[in-house]
Amino acid sequence: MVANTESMQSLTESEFHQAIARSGDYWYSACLRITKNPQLAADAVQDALLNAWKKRHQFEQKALLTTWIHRIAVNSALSLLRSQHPERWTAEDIDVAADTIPQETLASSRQAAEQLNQAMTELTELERVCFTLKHLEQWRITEIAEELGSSANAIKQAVFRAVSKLRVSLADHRSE
Amino acid sequence: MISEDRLILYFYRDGLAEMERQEIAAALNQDQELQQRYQQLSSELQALSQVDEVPAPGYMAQQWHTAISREAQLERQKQAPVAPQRKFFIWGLAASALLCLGVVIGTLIQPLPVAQRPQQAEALPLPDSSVEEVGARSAAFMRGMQYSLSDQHLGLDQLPPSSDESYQLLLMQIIAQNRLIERAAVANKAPELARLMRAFEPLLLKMADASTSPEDVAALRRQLTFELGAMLTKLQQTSSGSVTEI
Repeated sequence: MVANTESMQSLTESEFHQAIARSGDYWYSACLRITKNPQLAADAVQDALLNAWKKRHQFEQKALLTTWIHRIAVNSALSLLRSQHPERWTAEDIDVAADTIPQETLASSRQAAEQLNQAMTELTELERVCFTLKHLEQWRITEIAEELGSSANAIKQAVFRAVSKLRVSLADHRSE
Repeated sequence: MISEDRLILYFYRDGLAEMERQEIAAALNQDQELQQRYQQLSSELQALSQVDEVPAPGYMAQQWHTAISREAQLERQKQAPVAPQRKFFIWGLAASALLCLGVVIGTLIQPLPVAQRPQQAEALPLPDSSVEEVGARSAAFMRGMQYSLSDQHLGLDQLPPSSDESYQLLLMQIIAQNRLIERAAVANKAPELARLMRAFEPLLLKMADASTSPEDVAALRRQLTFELGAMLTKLQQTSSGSVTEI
């Protein structure tokens, strides 16, 4: 019985290592898109891994381990981002908050070769997060609203603004 | 006229009532211009999905692996019986960890008044800026650091051979204690001491790594014990200087 338990545990640990090897970059990329900060993104992934490890007994569908960790990592990234600038994420102000992006973020991002990354720098923090969660992570609008403590309408408006800005930005790139 | 925003929601299949969805679907079937607008929007939105994956730096991925291995190791050690002669040492480590935690919490709740360093104290021959910083901290913080570091020094000194079943557990506790000391140093604005503690961690982790040879473990242990001893001596010198001056 003890041997069985041990083998199950080592298998689980091994699965975690395999998941990191297989999807670590994917989780990191998702967190980086949200935080725009490599260290915060790495911390989010580590938090997610440790949380997932501690709660692994609650997880039964092993085939979706990477998806499960991905979701926890995105949540961790959101928490870390919000803890950095809590004033930008108050419920009352969420639809108008964070309309400025630090100049250094803009400056460094503009140097990036990739078009979409460049276009994403034109978004506010709120727009970027809402767009990322809706478009790339495929969360429901109600889920985003719940996670960010906002209204569905505020989230929709942020997504609309993000899409509109990105379309204009990419059209400009194409015409250049 | 169906707005762009509603078309976006239609594309996402989210945020629209079923009736609205049907209304838009019907309009798309009938209105060619609307159809063109929607196709244009769809292709642009699909283009927005083409994001590059950014590879995580190697050291980060390594940290994630290490974190999982450490947690797994700790769990296994918790399940393993602890030799009675080690219990005293473990309690010592726990008490020291609590002391560190107390320093951190105490600093956060009510920052300790920073003692003004007397003029004469500046003349003390302190070889390390970290000691100077620490010297400027409160006597309580100094005593806490001395106690914790000497406990850690003792812990390293008394570590059983790496083949011993309690070796990993004791080492993990030293690592945990090391982190608490680092946090206490950060909270007390002693960045050099914090940096030193951070520098210890990879060495401790290497000692915990099963693939490290016993010779390397012994060398690492000697190095850490030496560094800790040196730091303790400096702290004691500073502390006695401060006390004399105060």
